[in-house]
Amino acid sequence: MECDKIQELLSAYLERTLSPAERERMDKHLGACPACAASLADLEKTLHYLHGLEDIVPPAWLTQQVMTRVKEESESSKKSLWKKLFFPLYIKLPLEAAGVFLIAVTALYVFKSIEPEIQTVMAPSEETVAEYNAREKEVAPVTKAQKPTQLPAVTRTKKDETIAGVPSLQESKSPPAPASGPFLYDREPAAREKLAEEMEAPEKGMSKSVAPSGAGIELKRELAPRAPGLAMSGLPEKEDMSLSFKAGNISIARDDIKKIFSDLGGRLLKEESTPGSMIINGELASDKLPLFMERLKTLGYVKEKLLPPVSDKDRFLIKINVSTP
Amino acid sequence: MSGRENRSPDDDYELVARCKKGDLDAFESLVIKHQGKMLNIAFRMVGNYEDACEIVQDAFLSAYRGIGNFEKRSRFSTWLYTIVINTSRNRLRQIRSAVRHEQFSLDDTVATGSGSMRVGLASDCPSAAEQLEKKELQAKVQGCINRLESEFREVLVLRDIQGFSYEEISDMLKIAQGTVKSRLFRARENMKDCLRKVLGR
Repeated sequence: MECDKIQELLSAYLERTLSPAERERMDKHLGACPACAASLADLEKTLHYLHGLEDIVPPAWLTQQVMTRVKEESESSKKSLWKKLFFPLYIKLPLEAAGVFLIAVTALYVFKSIEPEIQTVMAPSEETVAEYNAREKEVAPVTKAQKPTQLPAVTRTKKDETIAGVPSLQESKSPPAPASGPFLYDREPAAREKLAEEMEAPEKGMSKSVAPSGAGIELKRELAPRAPGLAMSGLPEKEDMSLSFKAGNISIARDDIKKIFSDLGGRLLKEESTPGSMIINGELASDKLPLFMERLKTLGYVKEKLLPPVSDKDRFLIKINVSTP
Repeated sequence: MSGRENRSPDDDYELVARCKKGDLDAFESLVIKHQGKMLNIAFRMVGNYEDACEIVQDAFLSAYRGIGNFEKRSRFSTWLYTIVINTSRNRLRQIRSAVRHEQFSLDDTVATGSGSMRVGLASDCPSAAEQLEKKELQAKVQGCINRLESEFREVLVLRDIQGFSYEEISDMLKIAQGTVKSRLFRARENMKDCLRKVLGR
């Protein structure tokens, strides 16, 4: 057997894992080959030294140290679990979703709460006028809250279709309104009749001592404070009623208003002209007020700002702020 | 030499199951039970007591983190010793790169195979080897272990110092038993050469 092969088998020889036949051949070779025998002795010695290495003893603090670190790890992993929960997808997303949902619900609620007002914009005004006249005692019959910018057009067109032509009923020779203007005086007979019927109503209602808040006047309670009208400055005597009147042409409207006053036995007291608007103060017999309002309404968009007080004054001071829509 | 691993059913499994439920006392029991062997493996691997203590702590911490992944395919101790060997291996890499940066090695690496060996720690009085104190002898043996390549060192430590079976070593190092044997042969040859020089024989 060659020495190289023997060298490889020395470990197995020492560990006694060789077959009896191999072992016998090894013994034979080792007895004859001093070099291989020396190698075996060296290996034996090496293993002896290695086996002789003493076990070292762990320091007393080792267990404690390990457990301290393990506990820190355990706590920090709990924390990181907590962190994880609040991180991307676990709770944060549901929270965000809930937030979005809440905003949506709030928005819907807000929308719902203002929705009725939007619906009233669509309601024809003459209908409500008639209704009101029928139920004259109701204090606030028409609570219309229309947007000031949109309202004039809506109400005007509705009115124009049905109750235009009042001036001619009153045998007036009112100046012809511009075609594009808000007032259309030439109307069909049917419309005139309807208007005439409607005009009757407030007259009947006048027997009551309670001064109606203007037949057919669209009360703008909610939006009144924001109305552009300027106020009641300029008159020493406080007016009984303040109106905001929107018309396409201020000077025509002024003439119209002046005519209504004179038709109803009232008079103009004062006119104040400012760019884009005009303030007209007039005086009127209180029993003519509903009719005045009705006629004014046919000319344009009227907004009552100061309710006529319940009083038995026979003369009403009216302030009208005329402006273009 | 430590006793061989017994082949009885692993009584660590119950403790491991408790650890998985977060029982730290159970883990402490496992630490107490295995830290001695862990420390000895680590110490023979790196040859430094302080480093070995550090390695054992790191290894136990790794074990704690990974205990949820431990399956009963092997003994718990085998799994644990694999961790300490890997941790030691990593530490050795760090130490070696640190030493390389600090200075050139006092001793060139032991040449593998039959080549010559230059050993800087050759005894001053080789003839007095027999009278060396036990401690000194042990230090020299450890010195030779330290010069082994880490793949040879592992098998030598596990087989000739810790007394694990080839099968167990194969499990721990994830290498074939034949590879364990061939590495062990080389390791012993290198050890033999080293000791001959160190101990002056």
